[in-house]
Amino acid sequence: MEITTIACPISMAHPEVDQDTAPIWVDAVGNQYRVASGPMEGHSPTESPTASPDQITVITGMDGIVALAVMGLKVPDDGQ
Amino acid sequence: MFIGINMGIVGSLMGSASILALFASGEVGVWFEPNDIKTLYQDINALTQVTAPGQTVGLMLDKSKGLVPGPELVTSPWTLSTAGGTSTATESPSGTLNLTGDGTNQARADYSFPSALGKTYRITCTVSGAIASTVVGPSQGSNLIVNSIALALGVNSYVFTATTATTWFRFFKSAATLSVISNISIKELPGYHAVQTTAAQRPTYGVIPYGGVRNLLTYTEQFDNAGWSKNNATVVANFAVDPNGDMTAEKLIPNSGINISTTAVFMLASQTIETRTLTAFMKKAEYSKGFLRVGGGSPLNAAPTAVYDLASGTVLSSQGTSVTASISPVGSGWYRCSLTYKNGPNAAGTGQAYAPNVGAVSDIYSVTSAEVLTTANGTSGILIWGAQLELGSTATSYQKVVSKYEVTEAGKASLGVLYPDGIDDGMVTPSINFSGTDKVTIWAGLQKMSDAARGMLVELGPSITSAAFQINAPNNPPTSYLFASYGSLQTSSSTSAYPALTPHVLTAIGDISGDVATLMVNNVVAATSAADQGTGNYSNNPIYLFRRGGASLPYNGVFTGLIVRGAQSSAAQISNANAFMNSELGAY
Repeated sequence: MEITTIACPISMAHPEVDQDTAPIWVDAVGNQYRVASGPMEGHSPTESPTASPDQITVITGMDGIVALAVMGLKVPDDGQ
Repeated sequence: MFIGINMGIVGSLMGSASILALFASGEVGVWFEPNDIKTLYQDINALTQVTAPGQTVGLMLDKSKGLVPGPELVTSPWTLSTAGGTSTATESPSGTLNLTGDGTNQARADYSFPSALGKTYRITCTVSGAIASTVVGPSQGSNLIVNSIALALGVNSYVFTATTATTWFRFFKSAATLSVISNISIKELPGYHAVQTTAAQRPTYGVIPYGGVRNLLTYTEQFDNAGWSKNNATVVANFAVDPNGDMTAEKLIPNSGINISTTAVFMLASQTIETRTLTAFMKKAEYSKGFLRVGGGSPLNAAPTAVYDLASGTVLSSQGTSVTASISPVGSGWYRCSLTYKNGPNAAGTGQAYAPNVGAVSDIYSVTSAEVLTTANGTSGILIWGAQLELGSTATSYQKVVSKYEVTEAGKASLGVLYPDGIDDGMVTPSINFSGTDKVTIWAGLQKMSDAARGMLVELGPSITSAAFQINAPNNPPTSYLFASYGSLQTSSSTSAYPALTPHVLTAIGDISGDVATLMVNNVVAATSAADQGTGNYSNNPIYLFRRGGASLPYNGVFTGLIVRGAQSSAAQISNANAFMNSELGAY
């Protein structure tokens, strides 16, 4: 299995992305995405690796943190 | 496959006794040891063992109770029933169940036993004839704890965690074939075992060398892998004998007609400004010059570069700010070539995400002016092997990295570890009752991969403001580690002196009434606080590993073990446990 990283806009749902415990990352304009990353089977990368609020973005075969950077996402600056 | 000399095994076995002794008087706590692979399972029911790097961990057993099973809980006849039709359920001889469905109606056997919330139980049995299925729940026939695990022919075993004071176990059979279930046993598996029910949020099992991970690259002997993008070059895998005498050296061939330098390029995300050393083993083939470069594109004088003559074993030239280049023979015509550089600051004052390049040049080249190169013929090249990128200005011993989960080093023991991914991985125990004590000693082995964001290594409770303890690794930058201990008032001790990418053994000592919050790193006190921690004891809560509350502040790095002991520990106990943790990390 490959490392698969999934960014799911807050308004959408994906079976691999836990609604309660998936961390939330944000894009450059503040759109929020629930993310999941780990070895998974049966997922194909989306044509565009850049996260956008109108699609669930998938990247495979790449370290999860690098994948999230490729998607253009970062941890929200909420000062925890 | 991974190869390592496990020289640490004898020391670990002797040290295990001293760790169990920490809990011999009934002290509450946990002991997790990823290097003991038989305590790791891919699923939460212990159906599938972890056996190799790259597999994820859904269950990590707590060794603090010695994993000694409790007494047998199946001590009376089973409650038999059917859903009607021609299905049958009998117990004959005593303790052996015979279940036959009729294709529609189940045959069932139920057993209830006294349990306790958060305690784990193991069922074992032998199935012959035909397979059967099981459910477990808080009432007869309930599947709320285990939702239908099918049994295979032969010996079966799995675990489950109780949610109530009475647990019901059910065997059932729907098909019209006979299942004979014998040697049935249900026993408590003592301990507060850590689980992760969401597959994507499970940490990954890996192996690292004693001493920790220094090589930041992956696929270090596989330049043909897609992780290395080829710039005007072709790589032929496993082409020649490498410096170890194995057939894993690869040939780097500039593409036919190309008259500029060609490379295999590895991409990294880190842009931290720091001194790094890039090394690779090279040997001349038809071409006799190789180079190391960090950066991309042409001309060569755009980035730190060193060019090596692989016939004479000399550094031909080097360029760039703060660059040092060297070349050393290692035998059989192989050289280890080294380039030390500093990746920034750039014109914007930040670090560069310089990509390490390992390259070949055809015989005529120029570094400082426009390149003048022989046009490549598409078959000539050099041999390359064993790339390494590490922090600092010294080329240390080579570490082979197949993937980030499989790092080995010749002459060093291989240690089993967990890799939380720094995004969403975490584990949690059942509630552990620390409310009878206001003292705690915690030992942890780890190697942080980044200091960029706060990471919660271990915390009692889901982010509560009293009666708890936590270790941050790191805390908000630039704090390397922070240990907080609190009764009704929170106190912490922290240090900024321990950056990422170095292994450390942490010891945290908390005492609410004594107002002690001490943090040790590698057996030396790094910080301590005598500020008031208020009153009360610690609480009855789960221990969360690698994320706060299983939801935020992910820890990013290697985890080699954790001991949490709800008691004050003597100097000898602290020292012995530090030595044990270090025997499975090599931090000092």
